[in-house]
Formats: sequence, C-alpha cells, structure tokens
Amino acid sequence: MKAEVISEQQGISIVLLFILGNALIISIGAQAKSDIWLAVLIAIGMAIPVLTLYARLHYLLPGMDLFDILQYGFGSVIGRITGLIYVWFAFHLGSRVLRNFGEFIITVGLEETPQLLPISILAILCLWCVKEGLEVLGRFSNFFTRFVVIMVLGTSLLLLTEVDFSNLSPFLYHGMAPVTTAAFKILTFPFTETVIFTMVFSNFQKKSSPYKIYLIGLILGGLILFITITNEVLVLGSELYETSYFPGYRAVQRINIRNFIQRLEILAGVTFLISGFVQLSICLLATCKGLAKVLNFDDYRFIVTPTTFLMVTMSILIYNSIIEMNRWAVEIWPVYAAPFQLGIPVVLWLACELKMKLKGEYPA
Amino acid sequence: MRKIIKALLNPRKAKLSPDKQVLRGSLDRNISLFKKEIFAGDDTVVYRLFSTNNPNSLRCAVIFIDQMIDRESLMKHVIRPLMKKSIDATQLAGSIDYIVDSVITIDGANVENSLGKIVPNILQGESLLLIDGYSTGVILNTRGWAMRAVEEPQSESVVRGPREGFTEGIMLNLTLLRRKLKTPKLRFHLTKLGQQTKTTVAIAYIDGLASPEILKELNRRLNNTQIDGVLESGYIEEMIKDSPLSPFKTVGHTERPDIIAGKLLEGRIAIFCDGTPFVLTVPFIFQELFQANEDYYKNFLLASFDRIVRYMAFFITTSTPAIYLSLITYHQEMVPTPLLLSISAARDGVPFPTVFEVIAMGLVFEILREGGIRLPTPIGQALSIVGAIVLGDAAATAQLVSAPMIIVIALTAISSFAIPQMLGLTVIIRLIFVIIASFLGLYGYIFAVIGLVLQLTSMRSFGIPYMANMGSLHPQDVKDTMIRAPWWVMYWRPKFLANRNMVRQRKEANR
Amino acid sequence: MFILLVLAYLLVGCAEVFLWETKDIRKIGLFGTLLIGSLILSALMLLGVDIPSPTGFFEKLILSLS
Repeated sequence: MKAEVISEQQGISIVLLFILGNALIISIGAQAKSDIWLAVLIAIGMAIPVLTLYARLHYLLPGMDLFDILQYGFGSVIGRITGLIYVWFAFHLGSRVLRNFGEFIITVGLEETPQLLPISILAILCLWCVKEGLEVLGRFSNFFTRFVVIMVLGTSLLLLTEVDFSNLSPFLYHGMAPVTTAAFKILTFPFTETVIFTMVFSNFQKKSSPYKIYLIGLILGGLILFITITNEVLVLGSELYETSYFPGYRAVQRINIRNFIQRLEILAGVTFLISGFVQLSICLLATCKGLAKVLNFDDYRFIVTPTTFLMVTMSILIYNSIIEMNRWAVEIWPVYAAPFQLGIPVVLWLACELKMKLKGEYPA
Repeated sequence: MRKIIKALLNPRKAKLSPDKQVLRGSLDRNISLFKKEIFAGDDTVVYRLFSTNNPNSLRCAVIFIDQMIDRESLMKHVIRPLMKKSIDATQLAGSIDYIVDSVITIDGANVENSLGKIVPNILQGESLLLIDGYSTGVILNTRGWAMRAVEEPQSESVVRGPREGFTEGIMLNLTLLRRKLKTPKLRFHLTKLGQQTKTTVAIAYIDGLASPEILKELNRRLNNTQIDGVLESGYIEEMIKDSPLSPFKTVGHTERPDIIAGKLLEGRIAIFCDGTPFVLTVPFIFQELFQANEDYYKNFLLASFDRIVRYMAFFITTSTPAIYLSLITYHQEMVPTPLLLSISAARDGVPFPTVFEVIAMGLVFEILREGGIRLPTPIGQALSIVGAIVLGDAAATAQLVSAPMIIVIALTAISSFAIPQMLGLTVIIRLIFVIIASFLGLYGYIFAVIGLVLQLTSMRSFGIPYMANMGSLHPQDVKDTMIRAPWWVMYWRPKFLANRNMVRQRKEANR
Repeated sequence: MFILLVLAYLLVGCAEVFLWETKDIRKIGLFGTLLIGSLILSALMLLGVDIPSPTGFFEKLILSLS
C-alpha cells in the first residue's frame, strides 16, 4: 500500500477542525466563571510543550505512527498492550463525539426524530471517509476550514451588538485556583485530545512538518476557541454559560440585526457538524488503524464497517442521558484522559530518546 | 509442408484472408481480385482503365472510392502524365519505381504489394494505381472529401475571442491547433482505435510541459481499450475516465482550438478523435468546470466577478430547493416573520406537501429543458410558451403549486444555465439534497454537502486530486480558481500539473 | 424486528467480504468478530436489556481514586 503523505496545509486544517469540534458547542472550563478567557489562554500555553512532545515523537521516528512507536519504545508485548489501550481510548472518544452529535441535533433541532437516524447518517459518512483514507480527509478539511473559520468569526462579529462587558468582571474573584483547574480541564479537552493524531499521522512532506502542523494548528484553533468562548461568556454571562448544555448555540441564538438577520443558530450547528465530522473520522481512523496494527494486519480498511457499527451502538449505550454526558465531559474526562494524553506519551518519549541514544540512531 | 497441405485441403480459408494476399503480375487478375472478392457487390468503387502513351503502351488502372478522393488532383497529377508522357521500357527495367520517381507528380505515392495495407488505404480515400505486368501497386494520396467549413461552435459561443471551432476532420483540427502553437515541441501521436471503424486518434501535448507519468498512464489506458467502433470522443472519454461510476466528469471536452491551446500550455494533454469536433483534455479537475475561455481574454476584474457569479450559481442551483424546503418545514424561526407570513399565505390551499412540490416542479422543468433541446426552433418556442404560461402561471393560479415554489424552481433553472458544463449534474445533486433535507432539515442538507465534498475530494483525474487548489490558501494556487488573476502576475504554471517546467513568464520582463 | 436486524447485518457483512480483493481467513475472522459483537450489543439494546454503561465503571474507578 502506498504511504499516505499529508501536506502541511492539510495537516493544520485537520488539527484546527479537530480542536474546534466538540469544544465549540459544549461548555468547557465553566468553573473559572468570568475568568474563563484567562483559563483558555493558560491552557494554550500548557498545550504548547505537550504538542511539541507529540511532534518530537514523529520527528524522531519518521514514517511511524504511535502504535509503531510504542512497540519500538516499550518492546513488542508491552507496546501492543498499550496500543490496545489506546485503541480503546480512540474508540471511546469517537463514541462520545458521536453521542454529542446525536444529543445536539435532538436537543436543538429535530425533537421528534429518533437519535439513531442522524447518528447513523453521520457514521456512514465517516465510514466512507475513513475508507478513502487520510489524504481525502486532509483535502476535505482543507476545503472546509475557511468556511468554518469564516462562519465562527462571522457569528462572533454579529454578536458584538449583544456583548455586555460587565460579564467579565470581577476579575479573579475566587483567586487563581479555579482558573488553573479550568485550564487543566480545557487542556485535556480539547487541546491534548490531539494525541489521537499521533496514531493517524505517519508520513510528512518535510521533516519539520510535524512541529508546524501541531503548533500552528493548536495556536489557530486555540485563538478561535478563545474568541468564541470569550464572546459566549460576554453575551450569556458566566451563569448561563455554565448551566446550558450547548452555550455556543445559545449565544448565536441571540443574534438579531434589525429583525432581519436573526436566529442564525443553524450556523453554529453547521460548524459543529463539519468539525465534528472531522473529529469523528479521525477517531474512527485511529481505532481501525490501531486495531489493524496491534493485530498485525497490513491494511486497516477491512474493519472499518464493523468498527463503525460498534461505535454507533456504543454511542447509544455510553450514557443514559444528556446530564450524564455533560458531567462526564466536565468532571470525569480530565482525570480519565490524563494518562493517555500526558502520562504515557512522556514515558514513551523518554524511552525512545534513551533507546535512540543507546543505539546511536539519532537523526541528524 | 503441413501448411501447404492444410491450405490445399482448405482452400476457402486461405482465400478469405485478404491481409495475407499480395498483388499478382497480371492486371486483369488483380482487377478481378478487387471486383469479385474484396469489394464484391460494392458499386461505389470506381475502376478506371487506361493506357500510357505509345510506343510501348502499358495498360494501367486506377482504383478508388467515389466521392472520397480529390478527382482533379488524380486526373492532373496521375492520369494525365501517364497518358501524355512516353515511357521508355528500358527505364522501367522490371520495376515500377521509375513511374513513381519521374512520371506521376502527386505528392504522396507509396509502392506496396500487400493487400492488407492497400485495402485500408483505399477505404480512407487514397487511390491505387496498377500497371499491367507488375505485381506492385502505387498508393496515391488523393484524399479529399466534402467537409464542414471552420465555423463558430454553437455549443460554446463567446462575445470576445476567436470564432473558429474544430470540425469533423482530424487533420484539419490538428492544423488549427498547430497554427496557435508554433513550437517544434508540440507533439502529435497518431493511433487507431476501434476494430471496425479504425478511427484515427491523436494525442497532442507539448514536450517538456506535459507530465510523462500522465502521458504514460493515458497511453496505457488507450491501449487497453478494446471496442469495435469509436464514433465520437465520448466513447474514448468513458473508456479512459477515472471514477467511472461518478457523475462528475474527469475528462474535459471542448470544440475550441484556443481552449485546447491554453490547456496544453498549462501542461495538459489533448486527445483528438476523427469524426467529431469535440476534443478531450486530461487531466480535468473541478475548478475547470467553472472556467471559460473568455475569462482569460477580458479584464481580470470582470472575469473574476464572472467566476464568483458562477460559483454562486452552482450554490443556488443545487441548494435553493433544499434550503427552502427545510426552512419552511423545519426551521420557520429562521425566516423573518413578514416573509414567513407571505409564504404561508401563498401556500394556503396548496394540496401537496412541499417535498412533492419541489420534486414535481423540478421534474417538469427538466422535461421542458430536455424536450426543447432537440426540437426545431419554431416548435421549441411553442414549447417554452406552454411551459412558461401553462405550467407556471396557470398552476399557481389554480393553486396546484405555490408561487414561491415557482420562483425557487425558476431561480435554480436560470442558475443552472450559468454553468453549462454541469447541466444534468446539478439536477442529480439537487435531487439528493432535497430528499435528505426533507427528513432531516438543514442538518440533513449539511450531511449531504459533506457527502458531496467527500465524493469530490476522493476523486482523482489521472493521479491529480480532483479538488486540487480548491481548498488551498497559497497565493499561487488561488490565482486561477475563484478569481482570475491578471496575466502579469501568473508567473507559474499550475503546480500540480507542470512540475518540471513551472515558469510561465519571467518576472523582470514585465516590470 | 430482531430478524430484520440480523438480516441487515448479514447482508452488509457478506457484501463487504464479497467485495474484498484478498479474502484472508484472519481478516474475515476479525471482521466477523467485530460484526457479531456489534450485532449482539444492538440486539440487546433493541430488546431493552439494561446494559451497565462502560463509562460508569470508569467513573467509579476514578471517583474512588480521588
């Protein structure tokens, strides 16, 4: 099979859309109250070294994805076991994204439609996309990025009439503690969820590409997220931001310009649908690739269909209600995801550096 | 030895394969061979017998097909010299070469004796000269038949730009192109396709610009085609196309030499097919669907505006019905209240659900369009009157269809004419959009758009991604997509095509 | 309803395998296992059997740790 090479522009677009994905719509970092903008900035700052680490892994071992690197760093057996855990992580993340979707569409738009219908349609589209491969996903994201960015920034601009700056005060009323916790939560969701890209990317055009892709993607995505979240808090106030399930959607609802341009929440839905699609495809791709790699198959495409089915059923089973879903995203996820996103990669990085030094295979 | 016995035992078989036969020494024998066997029962074949000038008169014959040759040149350059000039038997010396060298004055004359080569040439409009006593004939280049003159192509008319278009004769088409690209690097490769039609097919490219890999791939695909007849370049198009099941075309076609010249200069490859004015170009990518040759001839600002209009027309023609449908059935809150009120007032009393209205009216329009294409102009006018008055006005007055729906359908119709390369394709896209939007609203519409873009991005044309340049933000890539940059900044050829020779113009030269 | 579900899975599975270029027995094994797992889960869901959500398990684990 021909190696799938991804260009810098495409890589940046995928990372950007992936970061925006669910984060645009779900309330994240709400316990920082009115200081949430600071929490986002701190989270971006914290994410930079982590993502540099991911890029470093690619830089050290070009042509390998996370599953190969795990086997290189930890040896075949332990590498495979950790690989399998990562497959679960990707699969679980995918199911969560899928469920978020279903809940979103049911809550905001089509109350009478059974949740399975939009979920299945989306899953089938992802199935198609993953079968076509990473390159197609790259071109797809590249095509849609500009629309998503324009729509997100455009709605933020239209919301300027509704902005109330008193929503941002008081500044640091509860001290730094809630802000740091919120920042850590924002770090694990969405920024370092990008660990999933280490499972997907393996070949780049240039040797320095991974750094560019991860960091530019992070900074662009982080800035857009910063703008939208700050805007949401400015419009809704921190109380409403915290209590609503989909604050992004709620905020856009308020747009009303001369009674003509109004109720543009569908635009928020569109951006969410597109970026969520990319996020979901990446998760599905990572799951299939990982499973095929761990079980020693040369191609991943043949298990895409059953994995998609499994993901759809899993997404229905995973939560009992939207309340549970939101609590998970806010409270449990950061603790659950930290070892995958921070713990194992750091250990792996050290192991690889050490092993390369010993073997003298250090890249120039 | 066994072969001879076999041939003796089975004489009919040996006789029937004309490819293996050769001419004989006797003129009468040869003529009867043509009359009784090869062209048996064909009354359009002409056998002209005559004798050369004295003293040693030779009996000669010219065989050709009526109306496929230029009679005047045959008479002036072959028959007259042979009859007038006295031929010395010593100079002939057992070979026919003397006649070719010194007697006949026509430009193309080949000595040949295998019928396998002679017969196809006669069928293509050449003549055969036979001389008694010689077992070889001379094939004379006398081709010439009635052809349509070079005129403006009706399917692609322009306001500004050259008015000439390709015709049905391939050689004339090649010269039309050669006149525009006077470079020795312009290459033509001629091949024949089709076991029965033996259609001449030419691959044209500029050496050093066209990618050798694409050329190789094209040759491979052309060689793999096994078909009995090629009557139009559409046959070739379908045989060599990527993603054969997709409705999107991955091979371009045009009737205009200036377009072909422009595409060759960008590093593309053209395929000419005898018998049709439509010439194919590969690779063909999505942005070309929105390009017109006139864009390059007029002011770049106006051309860019036209491009953007075309993209908007594509959006309108595919999406308006689906968006209208989902807005009034699922997302009424998005429509400003006065507008919603007037729409629902217009819809009051219409018996059908909106989905049915959209699909039925769309279908009626497509029938009108399809009906109008092949009718003679006077009847076509009657058809458009029936369509406009009866189906539009009367249907709305009778409250079978709501008036806003007619506006929506009319909008999609006129927009679809702005992108003539995609007529028919937009209908399919529109239909899919409408059906999905009818049960998931605007979310369904977005799903369908995601599906469409996935289909487009997954396609390739001869290894080039179909959506190349469409998502790119690199300034060089944007110059010829949504906008048409002025010529003095188009320094490079398209990156994805001409990797080897990128420089279109030197920067300094224009400053 | 249950039979319809099984039929749909069977149809998709067979169609997929039929379209493969190389029919490796290991590949078919993994494919089948995943498909049957998904079928059982969806069948249980259809029958209304209450399946403890896997996330609940992690939740308890994490809460007990912290």
